[in-house]
Amino acid sequence: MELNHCGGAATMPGDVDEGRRKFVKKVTVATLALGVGGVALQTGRFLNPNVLYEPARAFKVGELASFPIGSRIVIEGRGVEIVREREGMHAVSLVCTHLGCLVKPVENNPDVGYACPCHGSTFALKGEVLGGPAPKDLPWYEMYMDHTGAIVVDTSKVNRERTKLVV
Amino acid sequence: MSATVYTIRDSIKNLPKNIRSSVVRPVEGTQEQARAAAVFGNVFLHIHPARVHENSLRFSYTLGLGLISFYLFLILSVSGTLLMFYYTPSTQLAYHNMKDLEYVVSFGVILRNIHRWSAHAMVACVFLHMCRVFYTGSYKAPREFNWVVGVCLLLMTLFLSFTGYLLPWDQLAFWAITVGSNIAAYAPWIGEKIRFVILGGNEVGQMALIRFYVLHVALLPVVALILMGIHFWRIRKDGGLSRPAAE
Repeated sequence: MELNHCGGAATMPGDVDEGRRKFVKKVTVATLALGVGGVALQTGRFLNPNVLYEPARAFKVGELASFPIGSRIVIEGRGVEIVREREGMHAVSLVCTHLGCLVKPVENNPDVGYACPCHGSTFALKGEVLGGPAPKDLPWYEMYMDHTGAIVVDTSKVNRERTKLVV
Repeated sequence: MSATVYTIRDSIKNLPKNIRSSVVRPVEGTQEQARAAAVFGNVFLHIHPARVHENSLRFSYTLGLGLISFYLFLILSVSGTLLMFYYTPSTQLAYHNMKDLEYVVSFGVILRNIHRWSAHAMVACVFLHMCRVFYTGSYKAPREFNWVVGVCLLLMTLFLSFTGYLLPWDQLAFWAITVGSNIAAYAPWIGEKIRFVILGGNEVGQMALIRFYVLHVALLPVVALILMGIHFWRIRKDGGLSRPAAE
């Protein structure tokens, strides 16, 4: 019996080896999918920056003496406010939880502590949402005093328990 | 070619004619065939079919909104290219470049305003074009796929508008993109990641500016052009401009 190049039974000229076609098609599609998928994945890796030239998330805000009891001091360019009360101090984020605008501290109002100029969200003195579209309270960030006596705020760590730094 | 031997003198004499016939295809045949060939052979005229239905030509039916959107895209491409000569996508320079365009560069303020107002007009015209297509039922079969291409073109227009918004690097630009990228961050699961990649970081800075610039001047216009090519081609293949039934 004559064998064709696939080792199968001889076929008439013009006959189509369906099994062979399916196999070739599968291999082609799989190779293509692998290639395109790989390119997409690596392009994603390429677009994801490995180094950020941004301000550090943890930064010094000053000596303890520059935050007298009863003061609320905005750290310019950092989007945090340092609040010092008799019981201790905390750092509250000024970045609106709605869409990231900077909220403005409201002075001399026992109910409203912060108001957002963009879409009108308001927050209480401790940062809880009072009204407007903001979905979450303003977070508090971890803060500590380093060995030089400077107060450090770490915006990469949220103080979920809302504990105050006692000094 | 024929085996005729040309003298140099003949070659020079025939040069203008040869150049002309290489650009405009020589037409043979009846006068009607010649007229049709003049349309078929010209890429600019070829955008329109040789025969157009009477009702398609009624201006009040389409209001020419699609074509106006396309012309606005051309105006934006030309004025945008000219603006690129004086603009640097750097946080140090961008704002001053924009101010220079307004106060120092010859015709800069006209150019910037042409670009700005055409951009606003394009968003409006694309939107109105979609309204027209919707209200005349032109999205129905066999034109469903072209509606989908049109939706993609609307998205391209909006992305171009959004990416261009950051480039003046003023307060409006900064906060608009801060808000816009935070809207993207609301997408479930991958929202934060999308925001990080489109900004190239956690905040709107140099990486965000260069990313938006590249998208605005290279990537999005090219994608828009390809989609426009498909869009226009599909109009022809789907049976020409939609039109009211013969009255």
